[in-house]
Amino acid sequence: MTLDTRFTLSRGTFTLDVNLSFNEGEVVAIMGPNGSGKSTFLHAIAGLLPVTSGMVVLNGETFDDATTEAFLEPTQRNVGIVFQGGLLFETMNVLENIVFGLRARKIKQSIAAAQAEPLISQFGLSGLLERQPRELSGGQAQRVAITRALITQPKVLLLDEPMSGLDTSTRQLVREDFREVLASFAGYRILVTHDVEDALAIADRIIELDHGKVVWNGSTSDYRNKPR
Amino acid sequence: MSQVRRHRQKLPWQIILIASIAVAFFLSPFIGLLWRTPWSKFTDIVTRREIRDALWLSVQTSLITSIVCFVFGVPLAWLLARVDFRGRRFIRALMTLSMVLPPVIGGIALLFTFGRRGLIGQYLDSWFGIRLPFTTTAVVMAQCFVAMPFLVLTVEAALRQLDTRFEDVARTLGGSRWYVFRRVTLPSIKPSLFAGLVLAWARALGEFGATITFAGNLPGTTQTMPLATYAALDSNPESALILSLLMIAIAFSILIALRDRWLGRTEQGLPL
Repeated sequence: MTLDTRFTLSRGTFTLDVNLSFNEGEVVAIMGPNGSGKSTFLHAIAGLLPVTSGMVVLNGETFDDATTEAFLEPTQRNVGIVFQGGLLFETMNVLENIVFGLRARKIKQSIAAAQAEPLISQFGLSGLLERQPRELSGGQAQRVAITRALITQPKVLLLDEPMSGLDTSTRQLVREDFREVLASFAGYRILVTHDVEDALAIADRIIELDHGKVVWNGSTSDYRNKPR
Repeated sequence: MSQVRRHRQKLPWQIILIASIAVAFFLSPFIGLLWRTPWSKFTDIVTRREIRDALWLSVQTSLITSIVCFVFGVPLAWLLARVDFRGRRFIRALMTLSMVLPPVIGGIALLFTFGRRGLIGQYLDSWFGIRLPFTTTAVVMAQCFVAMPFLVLTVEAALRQLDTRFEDVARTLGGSRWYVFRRVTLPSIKPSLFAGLVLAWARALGEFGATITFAGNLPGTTQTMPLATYAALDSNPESALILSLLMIAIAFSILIALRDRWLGRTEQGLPL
């Protein structure tokens, strides 16, 4: 079982050109400076941007193929995504945020809440369900965002700079938290970060992008020993 | 306290003087109006048939206009803010144009388009027997023509400021575009939505030029408050005064009622 991404994606003068394969159960960190194409890569997997050429294939299912113009909408891909700061819906409370994916599938509020219960207690959010997003700490918001992403049982979990914007002390805690969360999820896990510490602490493999090209692709231990 | 006083002493008196003249300019007409208002005849005039008709027509048409602006304007604002299509700049320019255009010109344009011999009006008449000019529908059309841009541009500005990643997340969670629009996008821009609605409604309530040109001045059918006020100025200045006061009161009370609730909180604020 693999997630295969072999595509180019052009936006204006920028082109992302990758040929990468991911294994189920692996935690991969994608690193690189601003504008290197990290986020664009996640967008292509989630279906938020179509590829210009090439294809994205998950477990043999074509997500996007520029040649045949086959394109699965983000709603049909079952890919969970967590952005920096969590990006919780500010007009909904914590519970409504968490069950959003179930409600979007026309599942009744009461049933959705019951269905979400195991995840909610697993992430220790039971006491926060009535809170508004602005009443949460950075770490709490992040956990709600992950729960929201996991509720629809995605096959792929994409994390876009989930730990930026947190202060150093919180960051340490959230990093621990993250390791646990990621360990409890069995699918594909791809983490975008510009922080080496995050990548080294969490990932099995590190991919480095620069100007839309892959400049490093190897195990975390090799990366640690890589001459810089 | 002393700091405030010291701060106040530093203010340049020239600026204060000039600003005071501006304030006086805006305030004095209201005082003049109140001073001349024949309070003893207030109830008598307000309960007159033609006045009640005009008031009711104004309330009715301006509310319908607000609903129409909402139904058509919000999707248009979304398209302008989110989709990069050919002609987008043209449509935005068109919106601004009808905002800065003298309303009378808008009325003339509507008349020559939807009038009985107009570009579209002739077919409406010969195919469906529909004649729009000088009907209440025409009043609503005239109001929409001048009011909708206010809503569209306010909502578009709010949508542009909204982080599109909220919608992205919602889409990956399985929300259809329509579901995401209703549950995520619209609630997020609620303050601006209301600001736009209030602006459009206020503009519709005060509409004069386009209405009198396209819909005429028929008491009970097309004679809204501003038209009735203008008509009364010649024959019955006292009615005109009372009507003016009534409109000021309506506009003012709505602004007060909405001030804290919606208008105060929006950071986008009013574009004009």
